[in-house]
Amino acid sequence: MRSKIIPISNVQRLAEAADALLNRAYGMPGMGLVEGPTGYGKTTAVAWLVTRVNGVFVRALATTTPSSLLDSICKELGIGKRSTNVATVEDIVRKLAETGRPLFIDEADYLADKRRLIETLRDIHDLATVPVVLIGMHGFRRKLTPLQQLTGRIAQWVDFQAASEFDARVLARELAEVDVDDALVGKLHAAAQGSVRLLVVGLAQIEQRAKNRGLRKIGVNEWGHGDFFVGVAPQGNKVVRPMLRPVSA
Amino acid sequence: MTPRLANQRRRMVAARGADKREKLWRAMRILRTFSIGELAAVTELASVKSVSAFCSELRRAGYLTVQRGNHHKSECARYHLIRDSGPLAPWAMNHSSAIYDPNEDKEYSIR
Repeated sequence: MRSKIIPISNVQRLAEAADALLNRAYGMPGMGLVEGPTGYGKTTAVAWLVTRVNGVFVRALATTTPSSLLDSICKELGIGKRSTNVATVEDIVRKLAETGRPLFIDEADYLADKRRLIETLRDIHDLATVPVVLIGMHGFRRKLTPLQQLTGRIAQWVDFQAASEFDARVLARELAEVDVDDALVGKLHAAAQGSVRLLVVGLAQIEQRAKNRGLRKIGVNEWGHGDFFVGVAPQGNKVVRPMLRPVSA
Repeated sequence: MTPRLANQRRRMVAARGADKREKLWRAMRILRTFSIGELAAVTELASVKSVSAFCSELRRAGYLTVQRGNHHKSECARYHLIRDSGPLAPWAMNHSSAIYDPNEDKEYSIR
């Protein structure tokens, strides 16, 4: 298996949105929103983007307050915290404006019903004029709709969707070091239920079996009836099979 | 090579390594759980070998734990970042006998 980021539709839309935010005209709003269920490759794609653009990445928690959020941003920027939040925001804004680094907030669902937090981020966005990207679970955008001062600033919105069969074929072609027949890719795609992570795991299994048998090309007949996802290590605190995860309320 | 050129060259080599480390460290902190392949893909570093070497150092210094799948293949191993000390990448010193953490200004020995 090869290790690389494949520009399947989700990744491509994310890259295009980031490009638009980073190169927007002066004075245009620059907030972005990324949402999607677990397993659709959101975290991997975001990690790729943040690493690429040298973004400032912080993670919100259920217990996040405006002060603790500012604290996390300060730590990432390597600056000390001041005695008041107002002074801290000023320092953060100065540092962000100087470096032009975009700000990414993961698990932003936790902020949706905390007005002061959202407004703090809006202030940072308005004053530093760097892109601010909020990342959340599926349905996160709807929760923000009542906050009009915020939604007016959202210039880009990327909704991570289930991988299509076409995406699966692109992944098979780019990642597997053997030829995987389209029908077998179709079978894998149905089993993976749109999860990019499971598609990659399945392709590795298929490639392994083909290599074990010395095959250059593998199809449904050669594959037989095996489980595509044998030996999947649990993924931290996340549910591996994404469709089983309820949409958070 | 004159000593000056040699020094310059060493600095350049060190700087190149630092850039890679910073990238890998940043990606690890975002992903928290990852495989070597994912990390190489996310950071767009072609050399899986050097990615793997850095992870091994961090694991032996207690930054990462490793969790293998049902079968013991290194590609299937998933790493967890358990000591996220801050934004600056730790680096190996003294011929890889210890890791220096610039966030905490502390040394961790590599076992």
